[in-house]
Amino acid sequence: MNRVGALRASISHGMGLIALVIVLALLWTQADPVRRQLATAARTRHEVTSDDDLYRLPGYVGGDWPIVAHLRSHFPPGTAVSIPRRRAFDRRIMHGFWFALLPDYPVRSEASLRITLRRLVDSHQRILVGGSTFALVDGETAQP
Amino acid sequence: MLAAFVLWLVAGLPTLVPFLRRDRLGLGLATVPFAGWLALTLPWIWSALVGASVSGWWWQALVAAVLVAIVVEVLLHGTQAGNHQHVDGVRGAAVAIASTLLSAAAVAHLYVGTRLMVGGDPTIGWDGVLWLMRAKVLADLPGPYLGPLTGPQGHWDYPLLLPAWLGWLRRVGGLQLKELAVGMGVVAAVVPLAGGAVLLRRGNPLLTTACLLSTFALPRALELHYGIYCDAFLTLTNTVAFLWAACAIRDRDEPLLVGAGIVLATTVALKNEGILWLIADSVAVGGYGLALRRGGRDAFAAVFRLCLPGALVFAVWQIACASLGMRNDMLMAMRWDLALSRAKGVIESLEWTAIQLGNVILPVSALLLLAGLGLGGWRRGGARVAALLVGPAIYLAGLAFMYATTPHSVQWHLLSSGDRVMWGVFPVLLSLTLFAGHLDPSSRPRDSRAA
Repeated sequence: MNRVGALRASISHGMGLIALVIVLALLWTQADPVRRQLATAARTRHEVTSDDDLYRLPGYVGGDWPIVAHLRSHFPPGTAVSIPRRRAFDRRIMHGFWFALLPDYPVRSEASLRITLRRLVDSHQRILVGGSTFALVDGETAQP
Repeated sequence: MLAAFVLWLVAGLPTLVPFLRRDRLGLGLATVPFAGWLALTLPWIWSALVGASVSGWWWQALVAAVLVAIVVEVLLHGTQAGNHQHVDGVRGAAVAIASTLLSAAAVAHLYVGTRLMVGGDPTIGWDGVLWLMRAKVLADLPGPYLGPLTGPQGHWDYPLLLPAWLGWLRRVGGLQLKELAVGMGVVAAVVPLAGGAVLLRRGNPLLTTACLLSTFALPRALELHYGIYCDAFLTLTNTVAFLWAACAIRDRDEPLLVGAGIVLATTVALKNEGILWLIADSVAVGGYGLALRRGGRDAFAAVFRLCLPGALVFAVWQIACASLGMRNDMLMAMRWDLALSRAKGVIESLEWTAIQLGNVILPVSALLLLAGLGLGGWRRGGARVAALLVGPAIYLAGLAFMYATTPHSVQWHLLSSGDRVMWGVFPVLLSLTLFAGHLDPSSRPRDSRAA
């Protein structure tokens, strides 16, 4: 390689080094949320030893866990459940029900077993079991 | 869990056959993880096509048969590891630093993946819930059969590669839901390593490493990746495919182009945006070939080889979805009448998102690009860059078109996913600097069998 070629290669490596240093510095700053998550996980990872432990956390089904437990103990796998998708429902908890029930208990809008907000249950409806926010009922409920 | 990882790689081994025939063991091994990911989706696609459960060992038997074919191939014809280009001096040191950094990043990602509990609040967004829930459902079903799942759980028409991968780890590896971040750690470790294994000796090694690691330097990318989102995975695979394809055209390396096509097919199998990247990369690489004066026929043949695997994946998945009665909501509900009136606002919003996202990487890319053009010659380098720049331009135009015709609010789209869908542009822009003026003239492999 001649002198010009060597100079070009040196400049090129220098530019590569600058780009790499900037990318690594940015990467380090962007890793903050993951570092915080790692610190949280280190404190709690031994408290969750099974998937059911995970579903019982407030970020999932939380206080509505009795509904899942009742379904599993009283209805065979394959029984369809309705979890209406409406803005009035707590979407976070709805996701928790999905995690806990699928695929053993298919979610179908036409199912007679319904998980619904407690405040929407009519007096003539039969509540099978209630949780902190939701209830499992058999039959139609009022619309939010 | 080890069995799950071993079987994943074994599932990708069939791709070794064509690479072995060309004495490209290294490139073949780098392609195996991507082919393995594609293979994990096969049972689901097949079940959707035949409309029934296909649980059983038929596909493992298929893989075993191909393994036997590989052994026979090696025994009959032998193989050689390829003529590695020897490097020394400053360039050798740069390769050593780059290899060390990529390996260190891989170890760090594996550590994060194994230590991170997806507990507490993994459901940081709609997409994260969907991917994680699908992974759980696919893993817990008695056999691969999507039939009962086309109900209100939403968007089973999305490509299935990520849930198939995570579901595989849960089903075969016995991982709990909280442990599925392990799979995301493996993705973040393996893709840059496989990309770098092929690329480090072909271009500026430090700049290549910067390109491969730049995905996680973008705002929220690392956090969302471990929140079980597809987007960083998509960006990583597309960056590798783009770099491999551009190097393949530059170096007239057909096997590398085939490898790039397989990696691009992985991108298509990950997310709907993958098909936009397939079109964008193919046009850009074809244009790059023309800018290098390869001739129209050669450029067209290169584009065909590059996009064939991805186009097949897209077509088969669309047929499978149609056979299950699933339809792509986004495409079916397009409001064509809104396109023109919304276009200006959408383009302005995307511009603003890009500036916010790339507040460091964008100016760095621009400076490196200008420096590269200065080193390599403005006229020839400018044509090459303009050709490759068509890729991200097509991708952004595709995004603008989809956002302009969506039945939903444009602002909602931008707030919920605008940054994530634009991540992929920045590593590609940084990659352009590698090709601006062939930044490191000493790096061109003397033999196409460099990896």
